[in-house]
Amino acid sequence: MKKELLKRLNHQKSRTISSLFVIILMICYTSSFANDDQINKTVLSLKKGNHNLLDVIRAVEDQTDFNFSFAPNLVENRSITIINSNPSLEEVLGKIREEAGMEFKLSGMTIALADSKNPGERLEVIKGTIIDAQTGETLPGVNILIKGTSQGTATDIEGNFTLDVKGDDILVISYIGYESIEVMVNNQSSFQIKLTYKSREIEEFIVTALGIKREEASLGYATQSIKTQELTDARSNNWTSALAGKVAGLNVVGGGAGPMGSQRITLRGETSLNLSNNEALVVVDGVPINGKIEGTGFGGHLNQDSPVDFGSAVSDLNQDDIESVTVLKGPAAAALYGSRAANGALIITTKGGRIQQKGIGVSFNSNISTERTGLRWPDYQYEYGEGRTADYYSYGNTEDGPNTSTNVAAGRAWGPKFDGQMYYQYDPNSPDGRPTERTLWRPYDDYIKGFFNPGYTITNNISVEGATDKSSGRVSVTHLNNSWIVPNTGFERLSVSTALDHKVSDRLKINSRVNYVNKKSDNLPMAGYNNQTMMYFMIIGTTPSTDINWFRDYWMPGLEQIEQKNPFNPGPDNVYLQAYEMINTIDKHGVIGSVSATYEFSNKVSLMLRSGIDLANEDRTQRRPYSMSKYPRGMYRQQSIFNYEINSDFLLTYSEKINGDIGMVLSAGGNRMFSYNNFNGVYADQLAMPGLYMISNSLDQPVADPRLLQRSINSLYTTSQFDYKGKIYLDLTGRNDWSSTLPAANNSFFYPSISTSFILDELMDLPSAVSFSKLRLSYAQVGNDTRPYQTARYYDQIYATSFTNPNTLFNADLKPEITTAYEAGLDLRLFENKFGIDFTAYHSESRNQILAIPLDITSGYDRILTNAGLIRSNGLELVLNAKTMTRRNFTWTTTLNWSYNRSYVIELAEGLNNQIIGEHSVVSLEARIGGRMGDLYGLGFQRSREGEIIYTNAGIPAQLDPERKNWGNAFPDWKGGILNQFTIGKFRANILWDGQLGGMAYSMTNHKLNTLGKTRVTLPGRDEGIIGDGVVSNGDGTYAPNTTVTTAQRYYDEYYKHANVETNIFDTSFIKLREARVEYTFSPSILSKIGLVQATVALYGRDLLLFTSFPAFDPEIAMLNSGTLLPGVEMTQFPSTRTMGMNISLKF
Amino acid sequence: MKLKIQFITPLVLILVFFQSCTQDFDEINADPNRPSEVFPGVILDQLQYRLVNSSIGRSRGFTHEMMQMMSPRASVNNGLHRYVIEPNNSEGFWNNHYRLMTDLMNMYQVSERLGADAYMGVALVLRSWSYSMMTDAFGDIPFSESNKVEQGVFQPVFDTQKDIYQQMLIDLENANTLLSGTSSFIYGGDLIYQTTGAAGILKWRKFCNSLRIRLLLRILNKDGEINVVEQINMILGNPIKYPVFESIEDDAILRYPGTFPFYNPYFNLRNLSWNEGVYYSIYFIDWLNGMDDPRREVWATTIEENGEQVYKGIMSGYPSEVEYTVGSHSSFPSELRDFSDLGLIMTYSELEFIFAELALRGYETPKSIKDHYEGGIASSIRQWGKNVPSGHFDNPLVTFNESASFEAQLEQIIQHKYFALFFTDYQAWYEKRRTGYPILPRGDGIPAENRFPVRITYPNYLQALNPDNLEAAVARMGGDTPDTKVWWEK
Repeated sequence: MKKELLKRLNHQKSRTISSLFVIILMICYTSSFANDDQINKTVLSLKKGNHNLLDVIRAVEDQTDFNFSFAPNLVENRSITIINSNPSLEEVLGKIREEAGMEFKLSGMTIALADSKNPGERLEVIKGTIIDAQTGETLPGVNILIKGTSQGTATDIEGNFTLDVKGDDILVISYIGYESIEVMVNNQSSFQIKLTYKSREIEEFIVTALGIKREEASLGYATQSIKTQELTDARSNNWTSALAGKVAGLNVVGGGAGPMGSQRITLRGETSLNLSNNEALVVVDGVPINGKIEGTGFGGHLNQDSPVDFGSAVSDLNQDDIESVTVLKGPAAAALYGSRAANGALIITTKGGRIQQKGIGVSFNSNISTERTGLRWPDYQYEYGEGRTADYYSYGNTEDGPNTSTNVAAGRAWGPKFDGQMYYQYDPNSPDGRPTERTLWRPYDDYIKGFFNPGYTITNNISVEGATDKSSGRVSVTHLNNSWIVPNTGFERLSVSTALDHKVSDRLKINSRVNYVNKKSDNLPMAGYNNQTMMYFMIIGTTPSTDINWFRDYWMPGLEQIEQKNPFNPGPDNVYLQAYEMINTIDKHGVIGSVSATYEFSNKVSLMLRSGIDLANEDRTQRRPYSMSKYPRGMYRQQSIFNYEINSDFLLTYSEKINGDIGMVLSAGGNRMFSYNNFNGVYADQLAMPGLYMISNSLDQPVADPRLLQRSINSLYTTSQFDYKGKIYLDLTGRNDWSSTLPAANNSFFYPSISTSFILDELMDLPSAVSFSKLRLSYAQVGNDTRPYQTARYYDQIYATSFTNPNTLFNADLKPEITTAYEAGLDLRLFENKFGIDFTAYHSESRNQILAIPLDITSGYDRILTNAGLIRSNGLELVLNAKTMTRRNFTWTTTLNWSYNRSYVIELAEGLNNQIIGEHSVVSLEARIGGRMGDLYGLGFQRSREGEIIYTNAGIPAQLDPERKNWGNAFPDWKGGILNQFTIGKFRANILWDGQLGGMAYSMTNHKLNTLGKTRVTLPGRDEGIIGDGVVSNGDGTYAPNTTVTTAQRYYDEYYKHANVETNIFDTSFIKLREARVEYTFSPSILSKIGLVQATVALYGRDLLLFTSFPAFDPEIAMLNSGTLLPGVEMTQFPSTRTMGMNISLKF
Repeated sequence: MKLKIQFITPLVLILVFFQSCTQDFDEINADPNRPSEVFPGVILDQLQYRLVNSSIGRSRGFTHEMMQMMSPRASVNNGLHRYVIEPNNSEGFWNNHYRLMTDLMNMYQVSERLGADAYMGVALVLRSWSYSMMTDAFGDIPFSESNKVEQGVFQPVFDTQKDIYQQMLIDLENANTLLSGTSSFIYGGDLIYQTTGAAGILKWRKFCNSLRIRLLLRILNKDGEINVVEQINMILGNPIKYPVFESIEDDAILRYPGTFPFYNPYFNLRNLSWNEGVYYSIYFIDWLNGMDDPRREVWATTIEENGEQVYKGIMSGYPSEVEYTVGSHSSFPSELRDFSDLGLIMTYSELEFIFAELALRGYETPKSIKDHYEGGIASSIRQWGKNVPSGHFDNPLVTFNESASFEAQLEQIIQHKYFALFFTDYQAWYEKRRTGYPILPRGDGIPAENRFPVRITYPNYLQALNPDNLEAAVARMGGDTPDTKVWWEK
């Protein structure tokens, strides 16, 4: 089996080398399928005269890409006569039919030969049909051989065969591209045999940097591929969610900030001290695209306004149009993308047209899903109501006593226990809410949950594709309509994707891809912790004794658009006012497109030219009504963002084979990148008239906020691949970049990479259990530039008419950043490929990082841009594949991935041993020399020498210890995922679990809920008071146990206070049932009657179960700040949700 | 090899093409939205606005509570009113000051290049004003080496307070000279006196010299180390060369225009943030009640009590169990948010109180002690937009007792200066530290061990970013605590 695999690998390799020009940089699928026209036009070099049939077959296979499938004994002793020299393939096949008496059928590039008149010596006649296990299609030309003999047959056009056998014979069934199987005759006379497509055969080709398709065996670095199915199986609004748990070393976190679900994707940990430099590059059909979330300029914590998640070009990609995603994990893989690929890259190939049974293939896919809160809620309490005293409750001053509600309580739930008693409470029917009579003191169990709706997403996709031997094309239209869990929010997305590939001549191929997207939303919610955010309201604006419905009428009667009605805590704005009046809209039109042409000068030399663009125009508005807390006179802002990035490449390739043993491919190319980002904001931060949202209604002179960023990088690169007898592969690359953002003296930088792979079983004797083994070693460097306009002094505009010096000092001497990475890996396949292990270890160092390092402000600036720092990362990645069980009608495969990464801070700028790389008011991500990237620092309890918490004489924890301590790391110790896939007859099922161990996050939700008495954590001690576990100072350096009883309110208020990171930071370990799906494929025989080729129906779920000790909604979170996501901080995210959906897929 | 040569030519061409492409990099990397050079006027206006917002913010956020003018409505633990200065108190003020000094020094350099003396003079006056607030709060601070990172100074040394005072006095002398010429505000930008001509320049000179007198009075007990008395006499003796404030028309007040963009900074605050968190203290409001002070209605709201509208304060330094409900005591009226004349820097009223004290101490001031004292009260009332009621000076709490002891006269002057310094940065606190007046009651909730703070501790960040110079300064000052006395207080 091992030899067979190698043979295949060799075979493919030689084919690859000879046709590398063709394949290089072409989008896939061009030469894989053929039709009659192609047979007609294929001319063979055959001499006139009589030929042995086997020789003819070999000649055809050698001279063309066609393969024959036949039973060996069938072609023995047959011959044909060629009349014309250089006959067409059609003629030859005609002869085979007429002279040799055989039928043939074309299936893809395979010509199946069959003959029913098989003379047999066997006694019993069996009949059977052979079909594809997955599609149910019948397979013609399948070899059926009686084990131990040379006798056999092949299936006919209809996939049927007849064979004379003995009752105890074993049939060996083999077919190109499929797993061979053995079937016992067992005196049966009729068979239906299913063959399974060897999916690995597709995976053998990996789309690598610059879109170059490479054999997996030749790669000296780790990659992992995700196919379209894995993205669309259990879909979410942002396709990147589908990467979670499937790729070793890939980390995806979201902000929990709205329906767009923007996510931060990192590979192999954090290597740059500048967190926004750590995200993976995303490349679509060779065009790098903008993964940046374009922010509105507001932070998540108590800013003037709050951030809105508007999504990004990455989140707007339509998963229906993605053919595959190759994850290039390290710099070695991505070195050819230069600067931006230091953190790995996701290479996305979109779908093209394929040859179809009926000429044109039409697919229709419809998906409906519902998203519901409840995956996890904080542990809310429903036993005590609003108030600051448990003695009584009174809304306003009443005969029961002074007001204990509005202002005084401010969302606190330290009031009386619900005991069936009656109090003067808010009266929704009275004009000022003042009660006239006592009502029942009761909890409203849905005082939070009742605000949220089920979300719905309906996605419909229709695609048409087809191909001839010269051209192929595909058009796909997808419409997505989402209404989100927050009332009055959601979005709509229309995606149109076209792919056209055309072979103009034998030498010239042209490929084009255009993806258009229109994304629209009438309202997206604001995220974070602020007076105008919903989750803030849910925490401090309401209590268990408050009915959410009391907030539904959000205007004071008669004061519509002027004065909001907010009968409880006036801090947070009425949540329904937020949902229905604080409107954030977006209307985005985006195009990602590329055109490429490949010209073959000769068999050895080809030139590829390509130009791609990622272009988008986005119009956004934000409306804020009168009487909201942060803009009492309302606000209206609009931004239009026009950005594009053009990448133009050329790549010249030369290939040669030396002595038949050494193959080499030499390429040289260049790239010119130009990016243009024009953000134009116009702000009316006070409105002259309420409720009128237009710039002309500005009370003040409207403020313009223009921000134009331009950047250009020119690059030249070279890449060479060598292989020695298919045993050793060597790749060399070098790239030089010239960046416009660096000072002229330092703007040119070169970086090389070298990667090798050794096929061990070819080079040495290995146990026979090893079917394949490969060792990979690589070294790479990648340079990086910086943002535009950092090398000279500019004044910032302030107060519309004035200027100020920026807070960060420019640097006219910046140098490029350099990341150096080493990687070693072992790919082992055992027991006839039933079991695969892929193990990778890496080490990387990032130095000369371009950072705004903090300065003593007395020097004049808070920060200065400089090159500094050294971050060293080590990591391990493991991927295991197992064909756990393969039976008739049942297969079970298991894929497991696991990754571990540690990034350490080795050096910082001179004189610094501590740098804050990310910050929320009380907790910071600090890089300290010797520490890990992502260490979280903040204050904790003052403790005695014995480690006891020190309390004051009043029985509450003493002032926090002023020393900032490390409370853990934001990044997990390891992450892993396990995917089980089953096929049972016509059913297919997938279950994906994933999880992580470790990682800490500060939870704002926990802090605030606990200090306000909203959680069950705060129930102990409500009635009898609390004696905090700790000591009190005797004043002489000694301590005595704390014996002072304090009230629950004072105790928890102090214990969980905002600044106390120690009590508000939690382990984010979790296990999630990420995806589960069952699919049924209808039988082709039924479908053909109604004109369908294929039909499946599926039920699926995402995020169905979550096991974690994290107290807020979801441990996989980050804080959305304007345009960045800050890990390690949970800033009152929206409730986590479960998604359940149904999918129908039809092919005509 | 022929084949290769065939392709070398286009490759070379492409190389040349790419190289030539870097020539437009300078253009691409030039920011089209932000200027690289500006005139001084567009720096000056925002600089004044931010400096003043920051200083009145310190009154509202620090001095009012510390000096028992106001107290928080709810305060479970600690608080300034219980004499606790938390770490990093006033860090924002510190950061703001130094950040704005970058603009100020930059404006000075730009003006120097343009020969715009008036802007240079104003820069020196504002610099001394801001640094004096800083050093009186913190003691030794970076001064001579601050804001010089572009000259390579990343960790400035801390100068002694004495050196800082000495240099500020020199700077003010130079400012007076710069402002004595014919240069005026040809690039605009003066929000404080809002004129571009000579009238405005003269007012700046008056402010310059009045400020100098404030500084000299503060360090009066350091005469000998610095020639304080000599400088005071020099200014008092030559009003032509050293003009000072002569009426409330000369007040250094940033009068918020009520139009975009330089609004009163509290203009947009909701009641929740403006007046629902603080109440006037009993001490302060009862004095106003006793004097029947007309400023009271500008500063405070009334509440209904027994059918009457009254001004009522809360305890300062109250025990932690106490919490006051919203709307139950006097707080800021919402009109004060729109009050244009809130941007107080230094007023004629304050100068009158300074002159009253100098007269008491035997200096040759323009008027008598009593006249200066009454002038101080009257001009403060007028400055807040009110008229002095007839018989106001007959009120026993107001009447100046010329026959009282020196100490009693001083107490009375400072007591009334205290009201005049409402919303004037930290001045009331500095004056209390200098003179011990007014004598404030001690709240029941103030832990016995807490002493009245006389200093703000340095921001924590310095330990990480400028540790050596910090350590030297702390050693020199004898500690970094709220009890550590600054140079002029020793």
